Amino acid sequence: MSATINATAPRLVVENLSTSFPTEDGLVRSVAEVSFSIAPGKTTALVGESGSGKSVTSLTLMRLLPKTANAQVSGRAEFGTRDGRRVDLLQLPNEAIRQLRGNELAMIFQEPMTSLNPVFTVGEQIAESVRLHKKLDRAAALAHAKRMLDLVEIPAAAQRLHEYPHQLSGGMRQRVMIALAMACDPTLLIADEPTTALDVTIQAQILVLMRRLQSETGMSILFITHNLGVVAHHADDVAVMYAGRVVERANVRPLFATPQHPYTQGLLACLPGKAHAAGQPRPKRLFAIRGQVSSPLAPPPGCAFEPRCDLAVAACTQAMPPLVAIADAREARCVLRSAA
Amino acid sequence: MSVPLIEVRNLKKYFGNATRPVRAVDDVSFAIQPGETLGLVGESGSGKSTIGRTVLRLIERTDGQVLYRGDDLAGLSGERMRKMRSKLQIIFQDPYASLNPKMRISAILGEALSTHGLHPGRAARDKRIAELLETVGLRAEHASRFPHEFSGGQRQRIGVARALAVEPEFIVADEPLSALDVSIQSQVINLLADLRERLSLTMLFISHDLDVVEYLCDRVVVLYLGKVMEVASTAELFARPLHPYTRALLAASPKPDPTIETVHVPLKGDIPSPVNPPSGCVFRTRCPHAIDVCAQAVPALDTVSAGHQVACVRKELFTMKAAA
Repeated sequence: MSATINATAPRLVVENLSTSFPTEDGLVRSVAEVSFSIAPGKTTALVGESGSGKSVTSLTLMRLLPKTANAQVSGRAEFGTRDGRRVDLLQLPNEAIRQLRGNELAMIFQEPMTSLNPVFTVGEQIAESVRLHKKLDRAAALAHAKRMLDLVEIPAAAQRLHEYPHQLSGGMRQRVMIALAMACDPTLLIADEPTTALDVTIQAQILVLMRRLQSETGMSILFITHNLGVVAHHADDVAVMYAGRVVERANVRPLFATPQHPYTQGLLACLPGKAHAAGQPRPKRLFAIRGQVSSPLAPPPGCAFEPRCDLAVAACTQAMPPLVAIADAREARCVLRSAA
Repeated sequence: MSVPLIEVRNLKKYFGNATRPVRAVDDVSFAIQPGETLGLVGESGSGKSTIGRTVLRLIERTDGQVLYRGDDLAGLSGERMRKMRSKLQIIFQDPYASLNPKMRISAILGEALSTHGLHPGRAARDKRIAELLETVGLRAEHASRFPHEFSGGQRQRIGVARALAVEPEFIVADEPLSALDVSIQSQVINLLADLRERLSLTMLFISHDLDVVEYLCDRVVVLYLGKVMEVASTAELFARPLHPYTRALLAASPKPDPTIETVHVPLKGDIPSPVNPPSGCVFRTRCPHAIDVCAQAVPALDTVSAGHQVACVRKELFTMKAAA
């Protein structure tokens, strides 16, 4: 396969990804029929609330689900490697996925304190991945680690290299996580709520940093978040998830301008920041989505959002509606849209 | 002006030893009028939760006064303070950690009632518990359940019911929404707004979420490293923020609208340690407008217009702009 095709082909194409976990109370379908793609150099956001399946999606793609969970995974996740091959991340043998992970595929997690090893210096942790993947010796790897700390704008990098995670602030730790992820120059970065544990002024620093690194390296980002404000400014494409399924997919501007699925509409309407335009009086009540997410052990027979939906009709209780195309690069999973 | 329901004067709370104390709250003053909701915003380490707890004497202050209807709470004996607590309540941040997992909801709410000798007798008590659950949008039969049987949003409603059980006048709401999902958050915001109006509650609303504060609060106090940076009515603060920190905080909070272009340079660096705060203005180490004098003296909280106070020696920078 030639490099020119590779430059325009999506870096990752996920089709019909499903992940289920057997439990004592029955099979829990955490992720079902999830499809999306990410173009080179672009950011796709997976948005949803707790339990919507965002993190399980990312862990499934990275093959990081614990063996003891006995996850049942189906679907495809086609990834374009640096050398022009297209591989299915879900089918690769363990050894092959380990070659990619931390190398071409990197991940940053929400909690920078628990995802760094407390007993190794940050320099050693960054150096480990380049020693493994780039076969650098110890000294060269540490020199590379210092360059990575410079890259993520950590002041006095030469000194920080020899510090332990507990000596760093939350924002600095997240910079170290990013340095670690960037160490082997990945082409796909999965960022699972990377700024959720941070204060807003620190969040702004980290988001600007991620954007700079993306424009310099051309990496693709799968951005997992519940924060619609962050999505609005840092994603190109958005997939909204509810109860394990994608309920709407669109480019970021049309999604916020004309949300199609009642859940997306509700999610945007209930944000206090969207409740009134500048200078307008605040409304008496915020829009609220009633009720709560159904238990994954007892999903409703039809659409998962039907019990909370103000627009539900009889057909909604019959069967899970399919995700249908409603415009260019736009899809929604709602009977009201498929009828139109 | 009427007597404020709560007035905080020169409040200080230092933790740790006296030689190198952690200055969590350092000389903070504000007043809350009856029926008003005052927002307390700032990032981690700004002292917002410490203020909330010190106001209620859940932790004791180092110095300063907290007046309830003009009387200093510090002077009250343990017994009198306990009685006073029926007027002063708190809703905690984490609905998972703030309910005893071994107690049924009836016991959690009933404990508040019996402590204050309210609604004595089993029948009256059960009736009041049922009433409280309905007030917060739950059902009477939920009383016999345990906390683990509820979702996060429902637990937070129970936390609200517990605070309301003793018919308080004043509630400290300490980040009551931050553990909740967006769709549940708006349900609880509406609940708090309804109850506040129906029961004419006065609130100190602690939050790092500026959108929520703008929606729920009448006035806002902006804190940084234990000190007040700016105080103004909500409309004024969001329309004309004057302190460089307030401006940075507003700019850093991403609006859920991709058509709003955000061209801002994020603040550099981290919040300094409250053990060793910068001299002069505590914000100067991160302030894009800092000059030499900022290091020399702590800026006074000056009134720039009715009800709008700013602690910044360079406030002309923005007052001029706002006037122009």
